[in-house]
Amino acid sequence: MKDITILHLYSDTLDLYGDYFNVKCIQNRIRDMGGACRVLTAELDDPIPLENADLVYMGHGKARNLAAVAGHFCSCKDRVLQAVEDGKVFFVTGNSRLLFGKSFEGPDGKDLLPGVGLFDYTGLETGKVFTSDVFSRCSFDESIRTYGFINRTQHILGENSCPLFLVDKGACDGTEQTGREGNHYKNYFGTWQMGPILARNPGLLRYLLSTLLGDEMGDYDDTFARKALERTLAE
Amino acid sequence: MRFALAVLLGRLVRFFGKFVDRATNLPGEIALKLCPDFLSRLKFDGKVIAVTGSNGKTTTTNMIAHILRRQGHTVAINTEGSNLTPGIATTLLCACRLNGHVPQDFVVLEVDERYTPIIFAGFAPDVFVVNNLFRDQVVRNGHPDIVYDKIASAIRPGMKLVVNGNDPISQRLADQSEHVCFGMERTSRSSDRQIFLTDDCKVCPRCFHKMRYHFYHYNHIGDFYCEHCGFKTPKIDFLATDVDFEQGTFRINGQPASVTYKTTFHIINSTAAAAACVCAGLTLQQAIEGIATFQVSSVRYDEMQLCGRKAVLMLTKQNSASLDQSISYALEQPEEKTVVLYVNNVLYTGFRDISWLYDVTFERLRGKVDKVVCSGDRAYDLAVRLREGGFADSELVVVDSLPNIKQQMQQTKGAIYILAASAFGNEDGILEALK
Repeated sequence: MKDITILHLYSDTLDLYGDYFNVKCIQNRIRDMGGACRVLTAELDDPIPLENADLVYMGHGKARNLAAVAGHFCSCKDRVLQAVEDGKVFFVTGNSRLLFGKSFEGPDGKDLLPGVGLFDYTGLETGKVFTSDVFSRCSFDESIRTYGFINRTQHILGENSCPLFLVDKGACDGTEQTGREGNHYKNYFGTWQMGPILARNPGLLRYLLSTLLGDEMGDYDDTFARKALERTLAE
Repeated sequence: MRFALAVLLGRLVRFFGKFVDRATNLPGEIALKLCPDFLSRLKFDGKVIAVTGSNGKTTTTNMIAHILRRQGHTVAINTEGSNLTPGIATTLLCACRLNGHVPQDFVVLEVDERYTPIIFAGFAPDVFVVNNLFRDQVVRNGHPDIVYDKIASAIRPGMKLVVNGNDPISQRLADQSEHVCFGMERTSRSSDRQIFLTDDCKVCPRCFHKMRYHFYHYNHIGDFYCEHCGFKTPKIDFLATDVDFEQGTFRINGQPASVTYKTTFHIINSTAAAAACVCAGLTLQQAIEGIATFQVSSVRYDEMQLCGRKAVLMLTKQNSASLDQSISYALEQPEEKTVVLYVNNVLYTGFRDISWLYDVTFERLRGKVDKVVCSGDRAYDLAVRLREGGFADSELVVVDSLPNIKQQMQQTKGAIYILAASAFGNEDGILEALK
C-alpha cells in the first residue's frame, strides 16, 4: 500500500469537539490495513501544501477563528478548486464547510467573509446556538445509515444539488427541512455534522477510505463501531 | 404590592414544593411571572458576590460562603446549584424582606455563564468571579467564544472582576472593568508541554497565531504568551505558590494556606475564593482560615464500599475538562484501581452526541489502572473512543446491560473509581447496580 499523507488544515485554529479523531481514525484504519499514514498541518500564514496531500481535512472551529482563516484560505482559491476538480479527497466537517461556499457572515453578523466558491451557497449568522441529532443515509449508498450531531450558529442558504446525506430526521443545511445535508462532489465530502463523525460512522469511513486508497483498500475489524452505531440508531 | 405578592406566593410554593421536589426553580419562576422586574427591585444591604465559569463554580461559590460564615457574617446563597434566573430568584425571594431589602451581610450566587446578561440586568454584583472558560456542554454552550461574549456583555460599571490570570480566554474580560487576577505558579504537577487533548487556546484568542506556554497547569490553564501580538499572563494579584500536594499546603501572596482536597484545580479555585473575599472586604488571613476548613461537597465526591471493595464516586459535568480533572484525581491516588466510566445521553435533551468524549485524555489511564469499564447508554461508544486512543480489548470491559455490571466487575481488581459523567442525579442507576 502506498504511504498516505493527510493535510490537516488549521488543525490548531479550527479545533473543537473531537474533530481531530477524524484524522486519527483514518490513520488507525490505514495502520490496521498494514499501511503508513503521516499528517501534515498548516496554520494561519503558513504555506498550504495541498499538492503534497492525498487527503485534506478541515474541522469545526470557533466562529472568530473561522473568520480569521477565511482570507488566508481563499488566497489559495484557484489551487483548492483545481485540486477538487482533479479528484483530490477533501473531508470537511462543521463550519469549515462555509469556506467552500460563496461567502458567509462573520460572527458579528455584519462582515461578509469570502469562501472559495466551490458551491453556490452562502452562510447566514444567527447568533444563536442551534443543535440537533441527525439521522440520515449516505447519498452515494443509501444502505449506509449514519448518525451525527450539529452544533452551529449559522445556516446555509441556497440549493443543494449534491448532498452528502439524505436526512431522515434532524437538521438539514439551513432552516428548512429539505432532507439534504452536506455536499458530495467528486471526492469532496463536506458536512455540518461535527466531531468524530468517522469514528461513529464506520460505513462512511469505509467509503472514504475506498475513495482514498482505490484498489489498495483492504479490510479491518470495525465490529465495535458498528455495534455502537446500531445501538445509537436503535434507541 | 406586586413585589410583595410575588415574595409571599414564591415562599408558599417553595414550602409546598419541598414535598414534591419542586422547591428550587418553581418559586422563582412564579415570582418572576407575577413581578417580571423582581430582580431589579431588590435592595441589597450587604455585598453581592457572583461566581461563573465553565468548571468549579459550585465549589468556589460554596467556599466563599463558608469563608464568610466563619467570620460571623450572614450569607444568602443558592447552595442547591440552581444557577439560572428562576433558581436565583428563589434564593433571593427567600432571603429578602417584603419591602425588597436583602438584609444579609453577603449574597453569594453561582450564576450560569449564559444567564449572566439576564441576571445582571436586574442587579449588578459588587464582585464578579470568572473561574475559567472551556469548551463545555456542547448542546448548551456552543463553544467558548459564545459564552465569553455573553459574560462580556453582562459586565457593568462598578463591578470588581476577579479573573483567572492563567486562562487566556476569560483573562480578556479584564480589559473591560476594574479587576484583580488570581493564578498559580509552577507546581510539581505542572507540565512544559500540553498533555491534554482539550486545549481551547492552541492559538491566541487575540491574533490567532500560535499560543505558547512557559508551563501548563491543566488544559489551557497555565503561564501563556503569544510571540505574535504580545498577549501574555498578566501580573497576578493573588498568586498561589509553594504548593505541596502531599501535605495540601501552599501560600497565597506569601501567607501559609491549606486545603483538604489536594488537587491543582481545587487550589486554584481556593485562590479565586480568597481573591473574591478580599475584594469583598475580608483580610487575606481571614479568607485563608476559611479555605483550610472547607470540605468539598459529597454530592460530587463520595467514598463508599461496593462489590466488597473501596469505591470512590466522582460526578462530572458532561465536559472534557471536568472529566479530565476526575481522571487526574484517580491517577494521583497510589492504590491499585479500576476505573468505571458511566456515560449516558446528553442531559436534559437526550441527544446521543458523545463528541466531547473525544476531547477527554483517557489515554492517561493506559497502563495505570487494571481495567477501564465502559457503562451507561453510550457504553459501546466509549469503547470505540478508547480503542481509537490505543486501548487494547484486554484493557476494557464493556457493560452491555447495567444489571450485569456487578458480575463483570469480578474481572477487575483494586479500588473502584466511578467517573459518572451522566450528570447530577443520574448516578443512582450505576450505584444501585453495583450494590
